[in-house]
Amino acid sequence: MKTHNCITKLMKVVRVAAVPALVFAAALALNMSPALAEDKKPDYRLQISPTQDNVGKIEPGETHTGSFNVQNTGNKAYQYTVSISPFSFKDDRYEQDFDTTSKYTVLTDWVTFANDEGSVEPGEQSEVKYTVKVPSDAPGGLQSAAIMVTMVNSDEMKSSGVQTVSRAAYPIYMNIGGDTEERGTVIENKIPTLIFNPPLVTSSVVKNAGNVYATATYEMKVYNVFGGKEVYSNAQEDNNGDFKPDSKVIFPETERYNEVEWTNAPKIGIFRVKQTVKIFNEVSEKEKIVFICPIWLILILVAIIAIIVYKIVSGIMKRRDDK
Amino acid sequence: MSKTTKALAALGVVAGLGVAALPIGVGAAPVVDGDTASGDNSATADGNVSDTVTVRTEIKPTLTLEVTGVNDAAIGSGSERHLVLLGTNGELQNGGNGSGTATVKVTTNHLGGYKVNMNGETTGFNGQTNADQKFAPIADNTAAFPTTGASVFGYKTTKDAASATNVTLANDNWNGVKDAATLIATGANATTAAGDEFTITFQAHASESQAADVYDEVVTITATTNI
Repeated sequence: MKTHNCITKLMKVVRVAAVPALVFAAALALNMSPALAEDKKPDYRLQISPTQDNVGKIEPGETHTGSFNVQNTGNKAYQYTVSISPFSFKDDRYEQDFDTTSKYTVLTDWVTFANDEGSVEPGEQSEVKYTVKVPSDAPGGLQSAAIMVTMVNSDEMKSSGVQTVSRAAYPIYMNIGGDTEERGTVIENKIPTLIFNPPLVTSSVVKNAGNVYATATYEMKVYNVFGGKEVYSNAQEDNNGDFKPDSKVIFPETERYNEVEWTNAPKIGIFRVKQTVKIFNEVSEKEKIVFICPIWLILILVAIIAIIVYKIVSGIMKRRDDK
Repeated sequence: MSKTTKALAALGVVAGLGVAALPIGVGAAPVVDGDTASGDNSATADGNVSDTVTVRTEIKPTLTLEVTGVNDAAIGSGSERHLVLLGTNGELQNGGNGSGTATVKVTTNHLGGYKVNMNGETTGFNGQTNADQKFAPIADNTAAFPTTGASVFGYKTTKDAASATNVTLANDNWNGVKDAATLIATGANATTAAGDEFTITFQAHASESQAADVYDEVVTITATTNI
């Protein structure tokens, strides 16, 4: 009886204390959340927006102005410098090249900045304004460069080891009007015949033999072999209701390798796949029957076929022996 | 007809003409039921009128680069550079090896993905007092970092294969740091909000006769969205 009374009293105390305890815990959690969120951010984080300037066509003698923001999404303020570098590509995988100069990178001489350095406080942004003055005698064709935004350290480093510096590159590219040539070829257009696992990946290599940059398009359509119903297309609907396939910019005198992927392909099936690749007026279409089948299923099927063949051959041999 | 009646009739005509001359409505009228103007879903009268409202916003592409050196705390809070010390407490013994790591995280909403390049100073991994004292860059694509012989310095990139599915590393082996920007990682698509993360490990081997000095190199890590 006494024990029961003690327990009853204890329960009353717990019930009375529970509510303020819960309120306190909730308040503590709310107060800690912003601090926890603050701790997750690094001290220094470099961000730019937008990330590149596809100018399009511009005539000799014209001026193009642009800007982007250097944004600070870290916890501490930092300083940065702005500079200009050549911009091109090294190979068909479009590995970027910020060092090689050519007739297509003279743009570096035409770019000026309102300010070539700045600072940005946490949670704020700093605008980088640039002007491109195209000479009246500029040659027709592509011009490309990259604006480099580099975080700088105002303190002298005295430590040993390796120090890393953060930098973001902002490519600018344009086609100068005048003596231009638009010429391209689809060098390769490949569809696999058999894949063991999804995704289904088609590939192509496009060459731009002209002197202006162009956009190549890559369309993949997949149909059921039985029935012919379209089951997949990589074309996406834009705001105008038009369906547009994947596209990639191809710089002049370069080749670009590209892959189109059907990520959600089923693990087994037989499909008719069509890939259409276009650059300028050149169109390459390829169509193929593709088998999707896991390797283990193929091995099982081969084993079953082998057993059937063995049984048939054994039966024939036995009948011959019996005769 | 009396004069009053005639006057009233004349005034009525004038008033009617005046009303007819008034502008009818201001701005675009809503589409009337049965009208085939753009925005109407039906050419037949169905009791509904419709008009269109365009709602629009823009999210601009962003690119974020975050680098963390394993020894950042050693250089205090006033630095935007990041530090990787090689060896125990940044000390390397003759004949020994030392390594350290830097973590790189890239975040972007650019659908075409990104690339990360890295380049070093033209002076290489050299002594601060005597710049002629250097660690040679390791031969590219070296599988195992040497532990004997001449002094060499290099790097290797690694990632968590399970989580960093969007990023492809350029090389799985040890390479020398180049003067020109060299590809170290590619992101095929836009990243998640958490970003793509990978690690750069720097390592040095000091020969038995490497001169005493403080050796360092500054490497620049550059992120760019794909064209």
